[in-house]
Amino acid sequence: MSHSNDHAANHHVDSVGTYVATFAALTVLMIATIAAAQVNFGHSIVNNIIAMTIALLKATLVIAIFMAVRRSSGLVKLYAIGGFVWFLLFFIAFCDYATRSWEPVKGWYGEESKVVPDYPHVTDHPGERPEKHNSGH
Amino acid sequence: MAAIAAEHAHSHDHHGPLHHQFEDLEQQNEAYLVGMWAFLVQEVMFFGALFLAYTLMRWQHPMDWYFAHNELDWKLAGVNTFNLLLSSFFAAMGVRSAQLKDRKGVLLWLAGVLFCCLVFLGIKYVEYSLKWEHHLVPGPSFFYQGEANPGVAQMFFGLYFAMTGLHGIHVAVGLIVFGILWLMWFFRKPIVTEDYMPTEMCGLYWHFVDLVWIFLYPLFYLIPHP
Repeated sequence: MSHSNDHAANHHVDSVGTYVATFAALTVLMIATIAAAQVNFGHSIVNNIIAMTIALLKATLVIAIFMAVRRSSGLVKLYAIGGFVWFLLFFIAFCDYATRSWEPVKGWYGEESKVVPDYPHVTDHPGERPEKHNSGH
Repeated sequence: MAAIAAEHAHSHDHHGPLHHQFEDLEQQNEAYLVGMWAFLVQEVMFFGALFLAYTLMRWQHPMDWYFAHNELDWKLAGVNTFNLLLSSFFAAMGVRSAQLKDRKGVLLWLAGVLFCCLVFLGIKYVEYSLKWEHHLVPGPSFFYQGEANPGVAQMFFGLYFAMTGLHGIHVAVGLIVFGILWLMWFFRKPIVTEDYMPTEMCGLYWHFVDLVWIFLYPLFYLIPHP
């Protein structure tokens, strides 16, 4: 095996300390998520933003250090970021849902359609199959 | 003919971890990484559709979503979150040992990953069986008496089982992948001992499984009162 091959095979080995510190940071962030969820910040939006920010921080640590993307080539970084850019497309679906009430149409359940109807309990006896399944024979 | 024979002898000499279609190990490793990341990004899109369904339903029914989530045990899932973070650390340390060609280290750290896999699935089994006993599995026997709209609650549990179930399948696959990897290291297969990249690929898969749970945990178990 040539020298350059040897070099490429072990291009960089992170120290144990790096991994231990990353794991410690992830654990602290996990505790922070649980702690923040117990606190009322006035509006649930604040809670949601805090929870998702911590989750993104944790994801960044895992991707950058455990998955070693910070040492990877530009192409691999592009792929890693591309996986998240896709979530921006959620916006298009949200535009549809946010504006549905602007142009009311007759729904499946009559004039005033709801996304989820108030349908009754399937059965009064938990564990039993509903009537329609038994009446066939 | 002589040239072909010489070529063959040449490539045979240089076999080792480098496959003949690549110029050098650096190019080969880059191909490995880009291929694995292409797979992981399509996995993100695969889960992404479920995250979109989740976001839309929670946006439309914030109160029902909050009441339905009270049926879930955030403490048990918290233990599992820590367990998965720990397994990710073990996987990273296992890849590090593979880079250093430290076989004993790899076997030890990968055994840690396998142990965490089993603990995760065990806790998940306890959670799922409690939901089953409480008739919270969507379907004909679904029976919910809480404060949420029962239809929305059924939708909540449908997404709960779809998302944590899909994640759970990935954990079970991880158990198989790491089990095979561990055996290959144990039997000193050159494909893993001479090149750390196969171990690295398994590690990347496992970190992805951890990443999904990092988002699932607050989204299902820690919903604030709207």
